Amino acid sequence: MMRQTLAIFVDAYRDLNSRKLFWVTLVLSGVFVAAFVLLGVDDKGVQFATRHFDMPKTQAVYMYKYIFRLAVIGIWLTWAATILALISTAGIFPDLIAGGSIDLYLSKPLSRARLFATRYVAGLTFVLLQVMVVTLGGFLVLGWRGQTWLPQLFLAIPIVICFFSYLFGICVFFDVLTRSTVAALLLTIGTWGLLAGVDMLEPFLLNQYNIFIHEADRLDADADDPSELSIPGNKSKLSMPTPSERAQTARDIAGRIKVFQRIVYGIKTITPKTTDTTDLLSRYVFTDEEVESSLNPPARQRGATRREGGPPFDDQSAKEASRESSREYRGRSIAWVVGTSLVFEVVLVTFAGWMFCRRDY
Amino acid sequence: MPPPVPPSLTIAAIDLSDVVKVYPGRVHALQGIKLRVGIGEVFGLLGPNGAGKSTLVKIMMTVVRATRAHGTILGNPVGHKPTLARIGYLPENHRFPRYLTGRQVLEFFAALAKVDRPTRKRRSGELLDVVGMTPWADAKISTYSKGMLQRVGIAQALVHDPDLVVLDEPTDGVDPVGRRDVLAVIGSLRGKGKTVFINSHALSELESICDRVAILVKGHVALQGSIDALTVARQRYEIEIGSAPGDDILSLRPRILLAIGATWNAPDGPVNRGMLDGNIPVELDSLVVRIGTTHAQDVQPLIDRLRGAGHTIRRVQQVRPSLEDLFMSTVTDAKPGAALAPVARAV
Repeated sequence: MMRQTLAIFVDAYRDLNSRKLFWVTLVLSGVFVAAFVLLGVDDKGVQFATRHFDMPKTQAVYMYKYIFRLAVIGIWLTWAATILALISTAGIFPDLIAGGSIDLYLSKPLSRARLFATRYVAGLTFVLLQVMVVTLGGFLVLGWRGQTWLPQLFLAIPIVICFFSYLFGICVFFDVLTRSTVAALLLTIGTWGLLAGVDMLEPFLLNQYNIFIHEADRLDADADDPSELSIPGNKSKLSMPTPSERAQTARDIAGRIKVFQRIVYGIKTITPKTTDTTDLLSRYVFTDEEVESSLNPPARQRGATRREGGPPFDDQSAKEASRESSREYRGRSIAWVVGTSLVFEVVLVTFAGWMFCRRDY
Repeated sequence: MPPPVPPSLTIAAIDLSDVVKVYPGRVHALQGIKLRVGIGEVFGLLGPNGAGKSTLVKIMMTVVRATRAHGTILGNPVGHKPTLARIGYLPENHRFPRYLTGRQVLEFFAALAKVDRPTRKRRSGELLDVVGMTPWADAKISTYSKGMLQRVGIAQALVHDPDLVVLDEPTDGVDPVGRRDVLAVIGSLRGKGKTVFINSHALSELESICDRVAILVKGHVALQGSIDALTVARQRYEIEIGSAPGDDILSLRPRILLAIGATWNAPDGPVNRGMLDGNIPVELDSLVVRIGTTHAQDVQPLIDRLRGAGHTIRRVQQVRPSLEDLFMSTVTDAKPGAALAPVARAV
């Protein structure tokens, strides 16, 4: 059994090795990480090539980690490299089940289910190799130039593999369903777009809900303050809604947002959470203090703001709401973020495997 | 009295009965196949396009699931996966991974057949030599011609030293020298006591290497048996009637038909078919009378009648049909399950 499994893994590596895109992606990953050598942290701030930007070291280290997290993990690995990985791996199953090819595999003493499962896992080799290179490079660059050694960066390996496996599972499902690489790739990218949309919409709604709730609380507090209600000669006040009425309006809006947020949250619970999964890395790379301090807006942004068409918001309310949303978002269990996503993946891949096993070729 | 069972059939490598495959849309690809291939035989499967040959082969190799299948392959039920370690298979229009070399292809598929590393390395080298691919063993498959691919495909089917080899169109795309080599390989397999099951359209090649054949027509086994037995059973006599210069053949035919004295069916194109006394089939094609019998005494009265009617006999000959004749007559005359039912029994 091991002999067959090993042969399929070696074959998967040879397949990847033969694809130019694999090496292009790997080289680009290396270049991306190496570019961070230009950026460095010292005791007085951040250095970029020959230029120096003064700032406290803690802020400089946070910024360095933030840029690395955003650019290398957030953009390169989870978007650009993932698209390239999908392009490279989308053909694995259509090639396998093509006439003349599948016959060679199915005529061997190897069950269909094991062939499917082994090829599926072997398909993840692409992203495993990519993320290993990036993570190792990132770890060294962050330690050397960023003056912060982060072994937790290696959590990027399982996290990014999990994230990619959701998409690969969807891709394999469409591969088996359509038998077409192009169709499967387009459908996967489309589905990914929808999932990412849901992923981003839910925290946005959560934040909006918290903003309206905090605003309502603040307005209620204002309503209790008699000085706010008795401004002599302020005739316009008569035509303006009272703070209590505005608080009620804010609560009504918050209630509606909450319903919508719960629906989106429900959808999110049963679907793969691509963005939330990659965001998990931030939990381990950034401390709570760093996140809290990042939510303190600069002085120039302070003061009341007014959103177009909506009630005026107090900056303190918005800040509190953001903190609360961030706490709730970061407090979501890994079981919910990864576990439910993996359940979706397992169900979908099992269904794809069932189709693969039942089909005549 | 039933014909004696050939010794090789007493132990069957393939023993199928009631193999049925109905594809979605009520397409009945196989309608109760019954087939028996003895150990050590070279067996040919023939049939026109759409007869169900590929479906049958794919069911044997577990690529297609039968709607219903009874029987055994190498003593185990059809679909028994571990048995596939003892079967080599060359699919039609096979597609090997293009990023592998010929040697890597053999080693990879040998590993899938559970062959240990030293053995698969040794066997790969030997087989590449046997099929004449050693000079290109380390070149990528993507650079191979169709004939080279077919040679590697045959080596792949043999790399795990199987007891049964199933070859689907083994000489397809192979040049004449390559065909000769492929046939030599099959001959050597026979010499080693291996069972070879060939699905092919190359009738002359099958005739030269197969011990037994089966002809599939519309999902039925229309004919099955050893080539010798099948062709002997279909031996016939031909009587060619002479004509003088200037004779009008069309005007001669009614007189010949009358002289033969058979019960004639309605004319079927240029050929008249009928039955002689004793239920012996006869046909008149131009000036040739064909009598469906293997016994010379059945022909004598007919010769007498023709001569008595003033016709000149130019030739009397016993004719043994080729496999191609057999195939053509089976395929073109076949009303599966009806007229052919009597000969569908193993001969």
